[in-house]
Amino acid sequence: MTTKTSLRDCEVFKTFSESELAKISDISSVEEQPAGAAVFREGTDADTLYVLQDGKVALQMQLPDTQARAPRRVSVDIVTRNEMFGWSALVEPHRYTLMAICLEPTRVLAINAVRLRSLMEEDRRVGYELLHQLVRLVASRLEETRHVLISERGGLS
Amino acid sequence: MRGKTLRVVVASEDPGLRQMLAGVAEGEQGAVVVGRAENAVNAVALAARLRPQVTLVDSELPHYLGKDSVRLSRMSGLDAALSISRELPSAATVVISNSRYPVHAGESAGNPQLIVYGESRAGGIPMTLRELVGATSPGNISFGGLRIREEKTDAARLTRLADRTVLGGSLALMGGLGLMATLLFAGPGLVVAAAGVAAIALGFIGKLSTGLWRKRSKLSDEKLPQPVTRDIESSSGGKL
Repeated sequence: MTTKTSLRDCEVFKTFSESELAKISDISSVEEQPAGAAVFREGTDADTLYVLQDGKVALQMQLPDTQARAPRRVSVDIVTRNEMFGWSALVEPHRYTLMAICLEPTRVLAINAVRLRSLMEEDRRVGYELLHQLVRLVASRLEETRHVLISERGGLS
Repeated sequence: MRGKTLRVVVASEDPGLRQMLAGVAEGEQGAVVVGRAENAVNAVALAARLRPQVTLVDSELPHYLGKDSVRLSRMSGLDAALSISRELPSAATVVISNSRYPVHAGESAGNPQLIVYGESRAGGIPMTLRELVGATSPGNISFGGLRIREEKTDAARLTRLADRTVLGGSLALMGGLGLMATLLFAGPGLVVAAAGVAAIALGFIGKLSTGLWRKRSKLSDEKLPQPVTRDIESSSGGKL
């Protein structure tokens, strides 16, 4: 699968033209990770935006250490094929807020976020479309998160 | 370890997958399923109470309640596995993720096999539960999937093909004999009947070969296990 085909299959890039996809493809590369590997860790510089080509990735948040219990991680999302993750790369202060763990052997398309941000500045349509699609994606995740919260609180009452 | 009972807990919201996870244990001598959980809360509680040597956890496990319209309601498999591993550090805990080896409900009567993912991206390593326990480092978890034994699936496919060939041959034989009975088309009828006989013979040879292949596959099924467990806290990918 070419990087351009992979970008076209990703919901976020659906509205992009061939030439726009080509520009993003030029700053992308394919990375492979074994199961259990961390694609990125929270607190590190968010210099890469990812599109999952194959496999499954869990996004985990570190809960703060308290005297009551040892620090632990909680999954807040599972990324499946053709989905984008590592949004922190587009949002200041450009530090990952979550840890991404591969649940299976995984192949990702890694987009150089520093160059992508420059591209978004230079080509305002690319910048607008990318942020527009990203906001839609984040809103849908927020909606799902609300449903999870409601169903789990309902289940415990 | 050999000879002692191996206690296993399985966790999946899907009854079909839960049955297949249990099938892995049931297919291994001396392994017994002591608990089945349908969500993360119950999986952690069962593991803490029953102290299994092996826990197989579906990666798409709901924390408490899975809702079909809410994809994010099924993401607690890894959390449950990490909790169980903290509670039982010397036990083997495996997060099962099956998108690489998709299995279907109709195959649940087959012979599910545990595949544990190794360091390379390609494929996984078939392991017995005892081999897995032996390869597990304290506090680590493993990642794997289920697979229906390939030789069974392929053998079943070949058997089906052979059956169809015999059926097709029988129909051709009958058709050929019918044509011969008309006397007018006796020549072509003879050819069709002969082709039918050949197809029947080919089908039976196919069935015989499949049977022999099954026996050979069973004998060559032994594979050497590799240590493939991971400590998530120190885990890192290529760029970190």
